[in-house]
Amino acid sequence: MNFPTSASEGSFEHPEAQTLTGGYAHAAHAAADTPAAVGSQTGARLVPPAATASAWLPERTDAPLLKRAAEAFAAMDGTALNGAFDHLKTLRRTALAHALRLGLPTRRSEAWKYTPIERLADRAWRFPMPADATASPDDVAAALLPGVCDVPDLADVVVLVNGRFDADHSHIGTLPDGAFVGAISTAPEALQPVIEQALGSRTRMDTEMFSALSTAFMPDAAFVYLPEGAALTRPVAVVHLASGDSVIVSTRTLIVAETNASATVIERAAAVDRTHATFFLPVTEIVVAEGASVKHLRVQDAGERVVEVSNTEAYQSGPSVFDTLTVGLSGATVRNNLRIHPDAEHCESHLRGLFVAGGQMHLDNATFVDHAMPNCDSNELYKTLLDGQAKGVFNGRILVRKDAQKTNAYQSSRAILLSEGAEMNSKPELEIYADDVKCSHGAATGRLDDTAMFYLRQRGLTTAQARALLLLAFARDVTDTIALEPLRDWVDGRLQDLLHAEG
Amino acid sequence: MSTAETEYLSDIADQEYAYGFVTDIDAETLPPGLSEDTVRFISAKKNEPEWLLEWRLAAFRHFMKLLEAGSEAYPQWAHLRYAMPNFQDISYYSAPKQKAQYESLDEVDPKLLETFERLGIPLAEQKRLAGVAFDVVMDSVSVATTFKEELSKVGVVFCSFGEAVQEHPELVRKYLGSVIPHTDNFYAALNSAVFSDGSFVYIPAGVRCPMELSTYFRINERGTGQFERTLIIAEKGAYVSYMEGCTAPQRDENQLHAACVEIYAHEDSEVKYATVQNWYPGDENGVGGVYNFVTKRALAAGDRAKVSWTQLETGSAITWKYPSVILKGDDTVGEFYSVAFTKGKQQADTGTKMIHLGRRSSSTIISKGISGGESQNAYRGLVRIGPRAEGARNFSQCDSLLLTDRCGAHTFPYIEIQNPSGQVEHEATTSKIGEDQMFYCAQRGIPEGEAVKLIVNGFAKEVMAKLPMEFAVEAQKLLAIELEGSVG
Repeated sequence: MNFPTSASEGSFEHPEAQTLTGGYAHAAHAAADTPAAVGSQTGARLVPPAATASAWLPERTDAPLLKRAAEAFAAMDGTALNGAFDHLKTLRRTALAHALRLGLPTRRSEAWKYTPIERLADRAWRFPMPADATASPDDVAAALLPGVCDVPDLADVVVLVNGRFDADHSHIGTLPDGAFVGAISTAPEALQPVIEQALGSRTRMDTEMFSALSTAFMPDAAFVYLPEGAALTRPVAVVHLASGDSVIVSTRTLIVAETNASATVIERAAAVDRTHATFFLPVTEIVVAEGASVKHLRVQDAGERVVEVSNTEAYQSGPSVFDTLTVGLSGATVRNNLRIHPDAEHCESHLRGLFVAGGQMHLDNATFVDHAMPNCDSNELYKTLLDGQAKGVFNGRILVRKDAQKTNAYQSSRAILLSEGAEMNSKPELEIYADDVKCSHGAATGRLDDTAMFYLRQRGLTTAQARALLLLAFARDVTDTIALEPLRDWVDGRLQDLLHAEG
Repeated sequence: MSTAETEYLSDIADQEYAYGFVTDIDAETLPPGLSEDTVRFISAKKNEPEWLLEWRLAAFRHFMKLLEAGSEAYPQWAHLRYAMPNFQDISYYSAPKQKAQYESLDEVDPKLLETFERLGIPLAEQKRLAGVAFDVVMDSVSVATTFKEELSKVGVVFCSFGEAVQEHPELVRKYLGSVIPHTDNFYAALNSAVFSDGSFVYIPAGVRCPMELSTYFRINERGTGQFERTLIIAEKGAYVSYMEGCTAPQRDENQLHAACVEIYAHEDSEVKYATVQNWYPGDENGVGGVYNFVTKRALAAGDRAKVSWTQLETGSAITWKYPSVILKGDDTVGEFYSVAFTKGKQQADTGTKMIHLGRRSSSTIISKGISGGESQNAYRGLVRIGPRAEGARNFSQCDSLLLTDRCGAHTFPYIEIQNPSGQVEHEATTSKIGEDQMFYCAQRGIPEGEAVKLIVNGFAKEVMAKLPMEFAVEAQKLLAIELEGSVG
């Protein structure tokens, strides 16, 4: 019945540790998180006394997964190591070192309190070989987002198989001048400096083991670049495919929107063969400059054999709008780390999620909005439906740093439990160091409203119909925000299927 | 925010502790250090039976194991920053030499009376206040108990823990550790090994305790830790309202206070526990001040049992406290009402745990955090609806008010739902005193200082109203003093 044992989660950020120089510095976080910072107030003994970080962090550095990672990394030849870019070699080496140092999180780690990733990660996963990436065109077509990717001229489609760019299945139409949609391996020379600067700069490899691990093994990355003023008329669909059984797929997406640019990017991960077990490690880095607007959607519906730990990092370098929506409909264990850093005044950030989990699914959403600048707004709405033996986790954290006056931060998590055995764990956190702010959060968990059910039954609907209707209405707040009609229809269709099937 | 307002608020933040002084009463104090001998000494000193010594020793061994495990076992999850105490630097026993039970106030050491005089809660006045009996725990040993006779008429036992061990060993043995086992947490283990004294309350079946029971806790001897152990047992259908209040003299070094309060509520019983905590918070640089690491837990064991915790926390350098209720019986009720006020360099990480196990159990959490100066004020709470807790309900509301731009207000709720019929709602807001509110007051001729008091009182009112009447007066006074500062 104790609270979890960990002070290492970055949930300990006192103002004096927040020396943010030159934008958003990782080092500032690291400093606040290390035990050396604890107890410095009195200048006396540390908490804990004479202990090093590795001695008390509840992570396992001896996990088989990491052993295999070190071996696979050592076995890579020069070409594989360089990947798409020469400078990637350094980035990967740093990332691997971070991963090995950080260790596999266990449930003793506060951030993984409700999600037993250790057991899953210790399975016999392997890092894919180039030979694994042999998907037939038909398989690939079937795994794409139907209604979106297969309609000509509806979207620009970037396909990566096991993290490698697949030119055959990707199709990219005419783009505004200077814009690029594709992979970093095919990006023009002129964009190299942009890639070198942005890739790996946002994701917190030094604190997130899975992000570091993914970075160490990413063969390529989907890349969307928008120069000043460029507005994409079509959405970009990035499809990450996994090929081979029991593979760990390190996928990467990099989105850079310069001043006044705008784009919509949809991401989807799927196994070519849905009977194959896959461990997806997607990392998405998004940079939004002044006046730019980026809409990001992540669709998670990869089947019951998929384990996924995603890390999405959005960085708003100027007054801008960032909007992200995660739709999760299936998976064995899915953990989404979403972090937004509005690092300029007058930023607007929207976070939304819609999840339907049934069977044995374990779903964990960890969101973090880091308000460091004044006059920003953030708005978060997560809705979760849990059926069967599914377990849901929502850990939403809003940090308002000392100088972030006039922040408006709103967070809401709503969950409905549909069966005995379903479980929901919520941890909405507010951490506030500025006084002139308006922050609130609400978390509610319950079941379907009996009176509403009665009302509908009275009007002749069957229990199943009434139930589905109410649940669709519950989801509508979120689905209505999907601007792309074919995608909205697809999500609605999947919801209908799931809700009727489970009714 | 206007200059006057800013100054006013900084005055509040800078206000010195008004209750700092040391009463010089001869005490029998054990030299600093913790070993098996310390535990044996305390037990022998208190003339305890063999089983209690064994119980203490088991706790001691567990604690030493935790100490040896080092940082791994030390609770670090709280949003607090402080130096881990050196457990060998603490004296674990201190007893005033004159420990006779006084029949009248004239026999009481005048210095003790003076202490209470200066606290503004004169013992004499307390005694006059009809219906209030209280058990003064000063440096761990009871020195005065009143209204004992009246209580004993209805079979209520209200005495020091030490007395209870001598006079009601069967009750103590049955219930001690039944709600907070010695392995529960780091500080509960320490307390179980070295607890010096505390209060014991037993309300027999069907008895409604005829008066509010009250204990004033004091920390007095330099360098001594306070390890209170309170045990409250309410039999079937019993009712009791219990009050605990504290202030401490000013001193230079950090003082450790690790208390345990256990409440066992049987079928249809009701226990109300109210606390006003105003221990020394340290000086303006955050030096000194009490470390308040308390484990408080109630077990609503029988059906329809009801437990409520009400607290006003204004003192201590560090507060680490989560009064909890385990709602084991069906239709049980748990309540938590809290006002936590921090200023200067104070840090508080406080909240509650509501563990719903019984069917249709319900709980309410109202927490109001007020942060001033450079303080850090966190609410941390757990609501768990177990798989068998059919129809359980919880409502939580955690509001924070920020008085300066240098403080912090945080909310860390944990909500774990394992039953679909559970209805759980959590709401939290954070704001400062609105400019419109200040304007409204100014418009009506209310000076800024008064306006702030008015608004803060309004913010805390919902909780303050839950305090027993005798306490509410004092609590409101305390909150006002905390806010007042040198500006009137």
